Parts: sequence; structure tokens; C-alpha cells
Amino acid sequence: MCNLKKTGNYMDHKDVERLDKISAHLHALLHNEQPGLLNLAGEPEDEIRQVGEFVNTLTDALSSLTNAAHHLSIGDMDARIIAKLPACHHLKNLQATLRHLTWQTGQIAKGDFSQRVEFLGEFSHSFNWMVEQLEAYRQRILGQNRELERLATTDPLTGVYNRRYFMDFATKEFLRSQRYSRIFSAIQMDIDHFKKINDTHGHSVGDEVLKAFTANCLEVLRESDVLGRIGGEEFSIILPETERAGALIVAERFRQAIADLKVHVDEQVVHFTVSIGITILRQDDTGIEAVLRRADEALYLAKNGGRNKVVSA
Amino acid sequence: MFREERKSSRFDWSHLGDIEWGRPNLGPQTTVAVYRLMQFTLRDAIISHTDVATANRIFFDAGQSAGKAFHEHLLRNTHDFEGFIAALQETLRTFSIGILRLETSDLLKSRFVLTVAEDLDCSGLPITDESVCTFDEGFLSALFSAHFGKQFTARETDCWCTGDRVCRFEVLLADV
Repeated sequence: MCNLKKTGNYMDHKDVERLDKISAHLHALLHNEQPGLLNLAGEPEDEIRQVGEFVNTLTDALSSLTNAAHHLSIGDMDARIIAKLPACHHLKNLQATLRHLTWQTGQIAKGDFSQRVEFLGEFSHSFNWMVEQLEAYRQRILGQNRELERLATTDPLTGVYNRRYFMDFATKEFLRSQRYSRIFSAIQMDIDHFKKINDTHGHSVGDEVLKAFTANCLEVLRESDVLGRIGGEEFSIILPETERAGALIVAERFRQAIADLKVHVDEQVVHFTVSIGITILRQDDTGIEAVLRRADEALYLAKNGGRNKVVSA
Repeated sequence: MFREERKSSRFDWSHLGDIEWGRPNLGPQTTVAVYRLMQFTLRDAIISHTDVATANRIFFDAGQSAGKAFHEHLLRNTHDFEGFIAALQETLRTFSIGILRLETSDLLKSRFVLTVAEDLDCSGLPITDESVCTFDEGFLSALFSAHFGKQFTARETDCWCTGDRVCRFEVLLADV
């Protein structure tokens, strides 16, 4: 069967049997079996034994490679890849890439959309495109949320805060001022004879009057002051950290600015005035409602006193 | 400056000189082979005069000085960890030092596993079953220490020279 020359002698029957054993082992390796290692115990120290040892090293390496490939194929990235075959180096590279990809995916889940994949060909392109799209969606949703929040907290006609937001803010300011023994002032305003403006000039002119009124108010207010539209032509302001004297100055400035204001709509010029009631936080106030009620009472006095007035309570 | 006796590092960024002024024609670049020629002949000489452990300690300490100076002079200043890693990745890439990738980041346990591919020190070296990136260990220790304001230590667990295609480092809070 074999006709190999071994150290100058033709092979004997025993050597042929040894080679057959190695051949059968290689056959098993090539046919997807796991034959274990060749038993070389008691074998003579010759070339055939050396071949057997090489085959055992190869068997070991292939077993390690198969094991590593299996672990990677099921997503287990912690398997130790021991063999030194060049193919194992590529698997180690793939393992490192997958480990980093796993970390990157976690980062993206935490909101870090700066992560990009490299060195994975078409997958890199698709993955990076996915991350860019996610970031674009996120930005769009954030923008929509901001817009929804704006719509939920502001008056669509004038752009100032609506009643709900104003009351939330006023309540918080009341609690904050009470807790830290601070002061604030509240102003209630009502445009005089607003119904008459609507009836005489039409609702579109009325709307322009409201817009001009709030625009003038906002010009006088500080960033920390909050103006809200409470009803049709009723507005309220919270002036944090403001004593009565300061609030009176602000209110009088409003009143004068509005009295001097001329609103031009189409061919029409509209004059109007505003009545204002002010108050400040008192120690015995039990809630923001008490403060605003007092400001309302002052406003009522301003209206009854002939309008276009500021009354303090 | 360079020949004074010392017991601790006196390295200063100014020791690198004004390269632009000094090399108007050749410019600031050289090759990886030249860098490695310096690195491995130096290692060879130190081992010849002392021993391997001393050589490793010297390279680690030098890496630490380099990492500290690198953090101070070349790295974009960021406060969050993600920003630090992104800046480090970008800068290592810009200077062709290596491709840094993170595998594990446990901020609670202060444990990080990262790899450096195409490493300046070792990628392409003969496979000898020895990890050789002791300079990188010191370098990364100093970078993490500078970022967190606490002493970190980096240990190389896989290296090109041990048959891996990347150098893998585990960075931990140092026992002080």
C-alpha cells in the first residue's frame, strides 16, 4: 500500500499501519468529525511520529477554531480564542469588532448618536445610516415636543402665556416666596370697553388691539416677569422680587403707554385704555388665589373709579 | 534640562522644541519604522544594562509622563466620559497612533476594556507570545487618571505579539 522511503529503509508493515492511522484521522478531520488526538504513546521517535505530532497540533488548532467560530456564530463574544492559526487572528479581529459594536449599540441606546461603525463594509454603511436616521427622528420629535409644549402653554393669538401656565407659575412663585420669605407683586389688567371696540370695529380689529396691548406690555417687563392672558381681555402679571412701589411704577408705565397707543388697522385708528389693579404678597395669604383676588378687587375699584387708572390694594 | 540628575519626572512639553521652526524643510512627520527603531533599540539597551522588569518599569513611567502631557496639550477638554473617549479616538487617529475602540465601560465599578488596533508600537511585530506595550499601559493609565482625577492603571491583556490582531487593555481604578 505505501511505498515511502523511511530513513533509507523501505517502510515495514507497522509503519504502514501508523500512516493509515494518521490518514484515517485526517479523513475524519476533513469530514467534519472531531476525532480527538492521535495516541502517539510508545511510538518511535521518527518522521512518522513527527507527522503525527503536527497532525495533533493541527487538530488542536482546528478544534479551537471550530469552537471559536461556533461561539461567535451564537453571539458569545467572551470565548477565548487560543489557537495561533492565521484564521484565528481574523476571528479575534472579528471578535474585537463585535465587542466594540456591542458597546456602541449600548451607547446609542443611551442617546449617544455620535457612534459610527468602521471596517465592516456594507454593514458599516447601513448601521451608520440607521444611527443618522435615529438622530434625525429624535431631533424631529424634540422639535415637535417643543412646539406642543409651546402650544399647550401659550395663547395662540397674542403669544403670551395662557391661563393654565400662568396659574402654575403663580402658584410656584407663591410657594417659593413663602418658603424663602421673599416678596412678589401681582397685577390684574382689563382693557376698557373692549366689547365696544369689537362691536364698533369688528373682531379682527379687536384681535389687533389685543396683540398690540401684549406687545407693549412685554416691552416693559423683565425676563423674570410673567404675563398671562386669563380671559378675553383680562391679563395678569407676576413680578417676582418686586415691592409695591416697583409694581406701581411698572403699572403706571403700562397705563400711560396704552393710553398713548394708536393701533392702525386698515384705514382705522383705535385708541383704548386699560384699568389696572395691583397687590403684593402678604404674610397671611393662604394661597395664590387670595393674592389674585385682592388684585382683582383693586382692578374693580379702578374700573368703578372711571377706568384708565391704577389702584393698589 | 536634559542632562540634570533627577529622582522624578521633570518632563515638560517645551522639551519637544519648536518643530516648525527647527524643521522648515522636512516638517513634523517621520515614519513608524523610525519611531520603532528608537523604541526597540532603547528597550534593547535598557535590558542589556539592567533587566526586563526595569525596562518595563521605565517604559511604563515614560508612558505615564507622555499620557499626562498628551492629555494636557493635545486632547480636547471634555467633562463627560463619552466626550473624553470621542476626543481620544479622534486625536489618536489624527496622529496615526492607533484606532481606539471601547468594549466595556463600567463607570460605577471604574472598569474599562478597550482595544487599540493598528497600534504604533506593536502592530506587525513578530508573534512572540509576549505583550510588549508597556509604554501604552503607562500612557493609558495617565490619560484615564487625568480625565477622572483619580489614579487609574492600565494592563495589557492581549497584544499583537501574543497573536491578537488588536492590543486589549483593562483599565481599573488603582489600589492606592
